[in-house]
Amino acid sequence: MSFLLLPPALRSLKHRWARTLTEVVAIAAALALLASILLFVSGNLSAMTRSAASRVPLDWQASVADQQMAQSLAGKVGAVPGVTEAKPAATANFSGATHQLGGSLATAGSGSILAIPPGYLGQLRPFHLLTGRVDSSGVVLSQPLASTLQAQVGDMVGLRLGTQSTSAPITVTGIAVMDVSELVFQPLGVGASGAPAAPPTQVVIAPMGIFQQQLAAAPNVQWEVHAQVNRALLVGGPADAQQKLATFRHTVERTYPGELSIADNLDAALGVAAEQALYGQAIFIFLALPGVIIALWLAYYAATSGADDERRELALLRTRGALRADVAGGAAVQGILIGALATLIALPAAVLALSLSRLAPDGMGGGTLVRTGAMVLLVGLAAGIGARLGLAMLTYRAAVAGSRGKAPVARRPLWARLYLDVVALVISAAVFGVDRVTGLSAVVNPDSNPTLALSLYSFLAPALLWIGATLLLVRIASRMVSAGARRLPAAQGSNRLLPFLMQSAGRRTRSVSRAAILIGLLLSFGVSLGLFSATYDQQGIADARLTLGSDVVVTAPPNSALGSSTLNTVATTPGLQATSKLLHTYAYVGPDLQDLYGIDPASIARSTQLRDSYFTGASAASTLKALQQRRDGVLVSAETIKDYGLANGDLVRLRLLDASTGQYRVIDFHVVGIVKEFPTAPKDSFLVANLPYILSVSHVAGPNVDLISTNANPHAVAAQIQSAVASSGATVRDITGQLALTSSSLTAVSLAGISRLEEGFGIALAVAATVLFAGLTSIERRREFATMVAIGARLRTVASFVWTETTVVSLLALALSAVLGSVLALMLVTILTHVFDPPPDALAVPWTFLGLLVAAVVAGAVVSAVMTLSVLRRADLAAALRE
Amino acid sequence: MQVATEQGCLVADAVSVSYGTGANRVDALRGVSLAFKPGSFVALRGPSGSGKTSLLHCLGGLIPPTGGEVRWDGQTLSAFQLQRRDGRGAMAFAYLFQGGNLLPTFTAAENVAFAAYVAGRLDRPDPLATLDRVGLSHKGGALPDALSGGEQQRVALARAVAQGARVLLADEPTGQLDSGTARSVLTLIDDLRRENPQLIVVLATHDASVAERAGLVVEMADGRAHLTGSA
Repeated sequence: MSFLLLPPALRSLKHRWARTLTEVVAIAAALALLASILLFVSGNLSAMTRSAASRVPLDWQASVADQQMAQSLAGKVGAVPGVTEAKPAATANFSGATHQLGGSLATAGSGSILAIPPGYLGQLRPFHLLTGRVDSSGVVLSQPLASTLQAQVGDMVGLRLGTQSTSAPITVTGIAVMDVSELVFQPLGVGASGAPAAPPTQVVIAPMGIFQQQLAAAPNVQWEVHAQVNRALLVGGPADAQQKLATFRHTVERTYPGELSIADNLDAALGVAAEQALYGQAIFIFLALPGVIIALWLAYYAATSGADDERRELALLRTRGALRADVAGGAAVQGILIGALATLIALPAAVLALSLSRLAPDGMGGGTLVRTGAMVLLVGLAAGIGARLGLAMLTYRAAVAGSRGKAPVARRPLWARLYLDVVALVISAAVFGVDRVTGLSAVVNPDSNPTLALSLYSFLAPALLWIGATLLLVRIASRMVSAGARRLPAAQGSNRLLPFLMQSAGRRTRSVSRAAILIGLLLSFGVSLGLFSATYDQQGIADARLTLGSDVVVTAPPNSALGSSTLNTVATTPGLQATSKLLHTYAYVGPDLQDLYGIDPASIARSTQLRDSYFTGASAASTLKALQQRRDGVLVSAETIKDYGLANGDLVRLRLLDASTGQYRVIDFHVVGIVKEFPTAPKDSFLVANLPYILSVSHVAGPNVDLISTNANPHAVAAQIQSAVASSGATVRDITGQLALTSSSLTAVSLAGISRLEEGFGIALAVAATVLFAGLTSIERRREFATMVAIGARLRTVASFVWTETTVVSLLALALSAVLGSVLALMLVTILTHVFDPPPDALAVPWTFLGLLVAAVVAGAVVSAVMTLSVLRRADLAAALRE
Repeated sequence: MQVATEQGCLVADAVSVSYGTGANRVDALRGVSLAFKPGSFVALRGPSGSGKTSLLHCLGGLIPPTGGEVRWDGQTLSAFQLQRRDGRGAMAFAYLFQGGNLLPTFTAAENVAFAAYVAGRLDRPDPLATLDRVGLSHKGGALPDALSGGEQQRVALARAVAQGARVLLADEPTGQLDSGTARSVLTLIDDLRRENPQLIVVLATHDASVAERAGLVVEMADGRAHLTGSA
């Protein structure tokens, strides 16, 4: 390339400043979108690490030989910088428990003991107290054990150890929920591999003193060191933090060779978070990258606004002897400058947009900014060079062809002749169908270093849908405009303008289609994002509601029922929509203790959300109806169906605790359906039956949970109920608090904010593209419009040609976005179904956002119309005629 | 106002046109005064840059004069020009450009029909019949790209006919044509004048042989006009 061409290239940028500015702004918008996504994702990875780590109440466990070693190593490990707490602990088993209830004796089967030293419940929190306290005078019982024994704080219970026939009498000082029973009682040390047994539900938490004095004879004693790691060590995303944690763990283990083999629960949690992070990143790849690509196309579209000028300049350069390489070199220099300038604008714009949207993540440090800046600069340079070079080469080829006297051949594009649009759609549907049938979807590799093995199919189906639907719309739109033009012939003369407008638009389908595709894709990006995001939000609420039970939930104290006065107080609280009483208890299915929920099938659907996806083989409504119709009906989990070879209508005998005798007795039930999820229920196997039947056979005083749905602010309603029922000891929780907890676990990233930002980008770019189209049309056709004015056409008549095409483009774009956006969102929800828990029954439609989108398109068209008229009024028509 | 004396006349009264400002200022017209009576055929002759096109654009109201005024039917065209931009009183002027300047998205027939539409012709002349008058009824469905330069000029003439124009402003209409085609275009202009004896034709050309066909030749040089011949 001759360096002599550099000055003209730079002069051209300065001289055509409007075009340069348009290109820079268009590329900057695309880069800002990319930068904001990168910064957001990067910052949120750190948030995911913090969130995942905060949910681990017991980081490290190490099995040791005896109590002395446990105490010694706990002291040493606790002194290691980076370890915030280390305590000795022990686990053991008991063979049975009893509780004298007046004249009867309540008994429980075998369970596990956790022995802890004083001050254990500080940094280490593998359980939380529902009532009472950890005290050296007695033990704390897990809720299922307390329920089985019908024990309260202050009661005396007996624990049978091994083959002893007598029970050690111990006072109950508290009732607790074991949050991580599966971790606390996991087998540790050499020979601990193999399938873990089901975690115990019947647990006694004993202070170390009582354990040594009264429970020392317990079998299977395992001494351990429990420790918590300083969270400050966990820097970066979950995968990075996992790596750092592993290094730290190995360092600690090497310090005490042969003495310490650590089971790292924190590592496992970070591993899960790393998998979730990959899902989060996959969502952004699916949702946001198309937006960036389309925005870059917009930049190229903006570059074509100077095609005529480019041609003239090129002709001049060629007369001066410029070769293809010279032209390419000049364009590349221009592209580099444009890309660099766009990057300089985009980065601060992205940071500003994130800050204004309150999305700037805490983890957005200097390193993140530099890494993001480097990536954005690379994309910016590629976009700038691509746009300039593409246009220059296109113009060069046209100029060479023109000078050789080659007439442009008007024929249908290759894709249209080969029906590639239909082919792409058919393959997309086929791939998607295969995905659905075979269950292929985004898959997380279960190895220790998680990578998201997204199936090629997963990307192929939406990508082909984008291409196929877009090209098909172009085909249909071209035919529609042509057909419209045929129906309104202008060649015979007309006293109406419409036939002329239609003929003109019908012969400019290439330009109209190009603009419609561009704007349509930008809008469909917004629509798919809006639908996905709304569905994601909806599922976040559904997940929270599923976990909590309803908008507001009132729970009786352990082993108590909600009194009628409490229930009446709740029922008369203002702002309630519906309430439904529920009994949460336990029942044995064979040897397995499962949660049992007694419900009122007639009213529960009004007080909580029951989705079809919670049940297998039938809808929520029909399953509840089946339960209602059979008094001794029971819904069981698919696992129970499989394990016991059950089918609908089969008799199933459950062992329920009879409150009147304190003994378990066998009760007959009949299977009426299969349940996968249920409000308040755990993830594993559970049972749902009719409340009146359970009450009658178990002789329990009444329901212990009240589910409440409300139209008012759940938090305010909960506070009101809490103050009214405080004396009963009942606890009141609401969905607001639950949502905060659930959002941080559902891929640990709230999409709401970044989605709003991306939707805003999409809308703004679509409006800009509409205005750009009108502007480009006015520029491209200025000589034609000047001729119209010269022969006497009114300016409004002339402007009508632009308005018509803008309207056609807007309508086509809206049609494309409605179809493509919806189908894409549906496809993405299906492909990324693992993200959703529970899976959605249908897409959530964000009507407000969609209304805004349509309003933005209309606003863009109106701005275009006003702008066109203004441009025509100020245009130098004589100059245009002389061109 | 000179309504009584200038009925049907197109008058350039001390018209000046300048482009640019300061050092870049170019005086395209310097106080040109000409009167075109109904039925007159005037040729503006001169080299490139002499001001022919600027005078035509000024006469047609496409550019406002920077000095003096243009009057049509006794009405100052500067005001009239604004009205044109606003869409009223459009049908008086027809243009014939060097390159035809047909509307590229319309067929030949549609170009003619559109001219009739914008002129507000209620009688809606048949575009094909109008094309027939220039010998191109068989090309009614052809787009401008598919027409030769001569054919495009003939369609442009048919467009002027469809407009029912009272003034035909022709800017080098034969500049890109071979001599035979150029002659046929000029013959068509003569035919138009015969059919409409009140038609004013102002034709800009640098070709002496073309200018000779006009009744009056105005020599243009450095933005000034000199009358050199008469009908």
